[in-house]
Amino acid sequence: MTAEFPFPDRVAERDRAFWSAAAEGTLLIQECTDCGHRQFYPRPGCEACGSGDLEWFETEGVGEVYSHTVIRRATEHPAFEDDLPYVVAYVELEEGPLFCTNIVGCAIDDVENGMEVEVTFDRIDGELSVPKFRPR
Amino acid sequence: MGFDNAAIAAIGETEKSRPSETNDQPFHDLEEYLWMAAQETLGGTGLSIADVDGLGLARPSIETQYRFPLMIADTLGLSDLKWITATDHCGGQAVPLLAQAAMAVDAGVAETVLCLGADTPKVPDRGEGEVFPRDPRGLQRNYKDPFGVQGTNAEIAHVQNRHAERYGTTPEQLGRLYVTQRRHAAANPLAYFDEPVDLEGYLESAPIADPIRLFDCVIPVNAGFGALVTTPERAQELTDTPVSVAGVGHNHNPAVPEDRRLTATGMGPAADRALDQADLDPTAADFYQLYDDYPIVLAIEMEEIGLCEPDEVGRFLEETDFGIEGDVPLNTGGGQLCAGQAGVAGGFLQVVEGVRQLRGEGGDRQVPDAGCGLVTGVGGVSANYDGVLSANSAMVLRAEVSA
Repeated sequence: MTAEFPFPDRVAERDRAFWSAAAEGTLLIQECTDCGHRQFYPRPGCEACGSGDLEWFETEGVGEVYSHTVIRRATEHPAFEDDLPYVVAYVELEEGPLFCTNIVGCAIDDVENGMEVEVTFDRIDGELSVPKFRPR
Repeated sequence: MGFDNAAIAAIGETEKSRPSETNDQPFHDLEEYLWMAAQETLGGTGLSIADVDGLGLARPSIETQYRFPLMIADTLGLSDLKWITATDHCGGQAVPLLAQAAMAVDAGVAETVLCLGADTPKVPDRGEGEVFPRDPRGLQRNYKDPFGVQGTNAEIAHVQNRHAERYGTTPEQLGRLYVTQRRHAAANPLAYFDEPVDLEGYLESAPIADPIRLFDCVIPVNAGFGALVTTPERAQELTDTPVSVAGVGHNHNPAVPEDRRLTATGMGPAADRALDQADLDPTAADFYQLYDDYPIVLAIEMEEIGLCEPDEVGRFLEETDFGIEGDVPLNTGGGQLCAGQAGVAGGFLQVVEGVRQLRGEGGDRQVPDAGCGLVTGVGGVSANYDGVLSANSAMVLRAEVSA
């Protein structure tokens, strides 16, 4: 790896909570205890009703590819130069929200929208595991 | 209602530059570009910097100090200002900046507001690659960067991917927009590109983030722009060809329906508001200076403005002549795709080109009998999580003012 991996900052408590769970193999989203809305990325309040009463919700870690792109040039993050070409996708989680991730475990040409996928955690260091998805 | 009590009296635009260690293109810093833009703007009016009583500044993408607008006022020698504002709407912010200036003039808070924007994404010793600085924290840093999302190109790739799947839009159709705008840029002395490209050249340009290829991406340049907003009375004293702001509309952080997820900009309501205010039919403008960071964004803006239906946009792109004398004259100076994108000041290009056309100063690219035009600004691709463009602004400009 030629450049430093762009680590998440994990400054806010909600961001620390998400990444801590990921390091232990769980993909979290938020659920509003007032209106039931589920959201990702973690926010201080509910994007649907404005309530501040949010709980973490453990997803099943499954979903479908909603959209995808094959990255051919590392124009902004040279740390990924060695991984080229690779797939960045939005996965529509079974619980509703879209999740921005990578599709791994298959040829890049085999990735299609609508494909059923499941989470797999890519360990970067002792404290960071990046949730990626592979075909189910 | 509207902006009857404000007009645009002057515009300014510098040359474009992409300085690097391997070329001899000039490098100017932000302060120099803003100074040049102010000089260019005031140049034809007979006004001096001392006559300006308001400053509007588009916040650049490169790192700046907090209280930046105040520092620029001092740098440029703007004193005793009655009003200062700044916008931070990303690339399309020229339209909201001019709208704010028009509101200030209309309210009588200031009389002569100089609006400026400049950005310097190309720094000689930084080489190629990263154009916009990394977010130090937040959404991008936590939930995009660790997955290797390579900036805006990679975000818009999802938009084009879904648009192709949902509506069948092809690279060949989108490429027609690029080819037309390259032709327009060749007739614009201030454009970065001065050679046309054919469809084959577009299709063969290097893949960046499928289906986005090199010529789908704006070309980052360093440049500065300005516009002088004042009362209609003063504008008529300063120039024979003042331009009026006939309508303005915005739609920020749009709520997107499920069936348009990832394939919407939210420009529709912004354009509706501007066109309603100007009492103009969407198809009746004499030209369209539409914010063009990518051809697919242009296509979606056209759908949402009401030039065509979403599932017909591909055919619309094939059948429409977007040339200077065509059915829908589009980005007549080449747009940001071909004239260059000056970072998040880029949207000024659409504004100054719109004013220039209405003043009859389009030279070899003048649209015949241009009396009114639609100008848009779009921005904030990755300000939200799932690829929708956050900031949408539209403005109708007219060649006449009523003092």
